[in-house]
Amino acid sequence: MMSGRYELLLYVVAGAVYVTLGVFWWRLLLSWVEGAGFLLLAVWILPAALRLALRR
Amino acid sequence: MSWAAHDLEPYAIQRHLGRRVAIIPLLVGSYAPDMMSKWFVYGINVFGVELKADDPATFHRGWPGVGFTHSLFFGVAVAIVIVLLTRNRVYGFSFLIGQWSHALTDMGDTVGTMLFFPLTTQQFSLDAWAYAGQTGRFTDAGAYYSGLGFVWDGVWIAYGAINWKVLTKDYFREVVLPADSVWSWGGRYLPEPALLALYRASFFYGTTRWMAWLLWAHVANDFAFDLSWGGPDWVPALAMVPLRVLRTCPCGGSCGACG
Repeated sequence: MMSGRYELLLYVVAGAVYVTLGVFWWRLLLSWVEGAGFLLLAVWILPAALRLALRR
Repeated sequence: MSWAAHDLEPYAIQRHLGRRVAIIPLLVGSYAPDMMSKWFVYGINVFGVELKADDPATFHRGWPGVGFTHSLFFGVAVAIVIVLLTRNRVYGFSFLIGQWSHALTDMGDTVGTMLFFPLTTQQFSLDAWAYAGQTGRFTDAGAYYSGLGFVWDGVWIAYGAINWKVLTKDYFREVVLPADSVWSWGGRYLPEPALLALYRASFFYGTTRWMAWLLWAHVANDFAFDLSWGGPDWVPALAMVPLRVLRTCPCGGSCGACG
């Protein structure tokens, strides 16, 4: 289970990356689906995949 | 029009109404008025053919057009359909509140919304920021993030930050999840971090988009800030149309009122 601080850090990093990408690649900012997909990738899929890889 | 408020306002409503609303229909209601029309306002290119409304503002907010989606009665009508189809009053109420918040927020620009359509096509407007959808997506973005529009969005981000508990895991478990069985159903296929990300997605999307467009407008580009009422003045803003009552006057057009 994620601790509160770790979870907050994930969202802050996800937000910073999304903002940076969005400034230079504005098409990313136009779609809610892409935004939600990016968030799922950043705070769930990638951390889960990383945990799985580290466990092996 | 608003660029991020429609993503953010539902969380403020959620905070105040708790289990009396369900966040998914609330968000759908908040997005509904623009859902099928925004692309046609800015125009898209399909296989080399430019598809765009001849008169974007009238199409988006007026009549004839799809401006009726910004009417309070449209929200009521769709909410009734939702209740009839789902037998769930919370869903209907949530959609209604979300749609009303959209319609009322869009009153902030210079074109306004037909709040009382079909009784009247009068567009009600506060004229706080320029409506510049007709200029295309980029100039509109630059104008919106240079005038009071982005300030209004910022108010909702600040409000969300003050009421940060609405975004916490505990709030999700205690308030959001019991109000809507969709989350329990989703929990059968997705772990809690994924459900939480979906719950927070619109707030994340609205906040990060607000920051990114602000940086795009004033760091990557050189749009000038103008926080005057109805500004920015450098963009050709459209204004609301005069009062037109749909009901036909019994005089047949001869009296002074309908001349």
